[in-house]
Amino acid sequence: MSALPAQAVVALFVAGDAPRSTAALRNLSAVLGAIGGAALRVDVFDVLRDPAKALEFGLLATPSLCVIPAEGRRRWYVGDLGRADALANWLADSLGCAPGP
Amino acid sequence: MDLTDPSLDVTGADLAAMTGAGVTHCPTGIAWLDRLTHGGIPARRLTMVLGQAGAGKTLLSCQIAAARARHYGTAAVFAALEEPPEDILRNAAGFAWNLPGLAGDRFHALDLRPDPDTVFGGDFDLRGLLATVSAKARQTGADLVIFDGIDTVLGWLREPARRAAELARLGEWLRVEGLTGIITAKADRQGAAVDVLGPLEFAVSLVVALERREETSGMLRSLRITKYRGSAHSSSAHALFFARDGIEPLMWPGDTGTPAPRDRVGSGMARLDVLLGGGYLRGSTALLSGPPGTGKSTLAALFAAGVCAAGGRAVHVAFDEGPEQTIRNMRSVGIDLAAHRASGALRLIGLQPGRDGPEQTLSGILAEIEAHGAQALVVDPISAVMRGGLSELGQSAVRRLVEEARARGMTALLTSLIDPGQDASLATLSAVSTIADAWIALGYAERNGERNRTLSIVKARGSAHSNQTREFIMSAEGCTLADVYTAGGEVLLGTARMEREAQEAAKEQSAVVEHLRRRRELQAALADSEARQRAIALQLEATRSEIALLGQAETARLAGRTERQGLVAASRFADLPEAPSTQEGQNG
Repeated sequence: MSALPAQAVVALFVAGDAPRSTAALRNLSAVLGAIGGAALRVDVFDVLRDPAKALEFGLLATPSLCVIPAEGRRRWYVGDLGRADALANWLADSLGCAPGP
Repeated sequence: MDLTDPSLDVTGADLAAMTGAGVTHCPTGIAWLDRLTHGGIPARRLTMVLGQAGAGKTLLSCQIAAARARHYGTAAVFAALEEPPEDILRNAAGFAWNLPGLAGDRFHALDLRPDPDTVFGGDFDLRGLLATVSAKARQTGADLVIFDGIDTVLGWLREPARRAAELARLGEWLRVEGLTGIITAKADRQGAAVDVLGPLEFAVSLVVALERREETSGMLRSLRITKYRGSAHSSSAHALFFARDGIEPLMWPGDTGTPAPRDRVGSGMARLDVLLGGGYLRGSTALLSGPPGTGKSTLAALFAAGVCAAGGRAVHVAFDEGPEQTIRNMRSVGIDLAAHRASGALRLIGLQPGRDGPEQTLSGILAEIEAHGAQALVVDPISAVMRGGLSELGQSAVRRLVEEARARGMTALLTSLIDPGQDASLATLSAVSTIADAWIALGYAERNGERNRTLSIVKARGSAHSNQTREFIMSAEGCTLADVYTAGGEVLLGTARMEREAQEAAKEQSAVVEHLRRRRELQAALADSEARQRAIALQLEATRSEIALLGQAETARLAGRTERQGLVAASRFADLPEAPSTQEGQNG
């Protein structure tokens, strides 16, 4: 397991709908754990309650996942987080580490 | 995974409320658009502007935002999903609205272009976009939101039903947030929405279709309102052009209602002013028609120079020659355009005929008028404006030019070449002559081996004008008109007129001489009579005196005789005789 850039932040944008958000967050945590990113900070924003966050990020779709590196540009993953493989590959790529086992 | 099944949060009742009857109009502040839509776009509902690339979708939505800011002081959020906001501001900078000046104040552009590296991993909806725009609208107090290039993000959704559902969500969101929305989207050539938008009918209240058609003869831009639920609206296609205020229909929808001025503007020629009843009516448009070389350009330049000499400002557009050539040609007939250009009163423009389509040419001329603050316009010849495009477009452009001139109180002179061999020139003439307020026909009269220029007023609305033909004389000393003579039903011009003038002058001269002679004769006769009258009076007096003297002498004689008889009788102591005098005389 390679070291993940600790400064990176992962932001999950959801629009209300608590059960979905919970499920999405649970899937995300599982994938992060699998690729060795369990220590990463994950911010979850409900844009219906906090639209200012959507504006801050220029959000287009929900749910969306954004990797915010310490340096360089943000990377976006749009869609529900149901496809663990695709999500794991994208996260590993975005965070600059190899996909987990 | 329950995220794969997003609910729409839209009920049938909401949809009916969203798109049903009883629409409230939100005025755009663009006079022509508010007229075509019978009051504006639907308030708190969705308007879609459809069109191909370059048809003016983004421009029209910016124009609406700017017009609302200017007229109502309202703010708009502009979600730029396709083009960067800098480009949008730059493209709009050429128009009169000062969009860059409104930016950050009444025009809030958000750069929401999707990252091209975005990865899609499952189902999603556009509530994120709506949240972003909500936040900006609340922050700025905007009541209008524009999604420019909505098809970019709708295209992410594969299922047509899902796209339609997202549009419906957008409509519902407007209603809840109390915002009026405009979306722009690409359309195919026929003006229908591209497939990516799916069925639109139930989600959109107003559809404005823009079309941009390439013709061999030029580009045709047009606008048509294809749907306006719950509102009356114009349904015809309106040809468009780019004016200083943005997109405008060539044909102004309806009357401008400008009051018609009654005062006159000098034609630059005193005698023509007399014929016109004082000059051209201010704010009117006059057509000068005639074959080549009849003096159309000269008469037009005279007018421009006259306006400038009187302290006005004029724009003179010549198509067949450059400004220097115009100056040189007019100098030969005593018109000094160079001086007026040097003083800044005259703007001389030489345009290449047929280089641009009618609407571009019109835009160019209107921009010059605006920039120069002109009160008078000359277009020589107007047929050049109609060239290089579709014929109906050309007529619309000319009509629009005349309407603009009228609305600005500008007096315009348009020349039109009549070439008997060219049907096109006659078509121009018939098109322009119906629009123009006055029509002056210039021509040639050919007789006895010479050609002479003629001028006659065919029509002059609002003027009691002369119906007589005049001879139009151009010389280095200037231009004027001369009366013409008719002899045996023929109009005499040139040499024949001059001969006739000489004859008339000689006749006049002899009449004067005759008059003087006759007067002298009568005066002599009068003097003679008076002298005779005096002689007779003297004779009368002398006769009267003689008669008086004669009477006195007789009285004296008789008195003397009586005295003598008395002395004789006294000496003789005789009785006085019964009948004295003669008997006594004979005896004595």
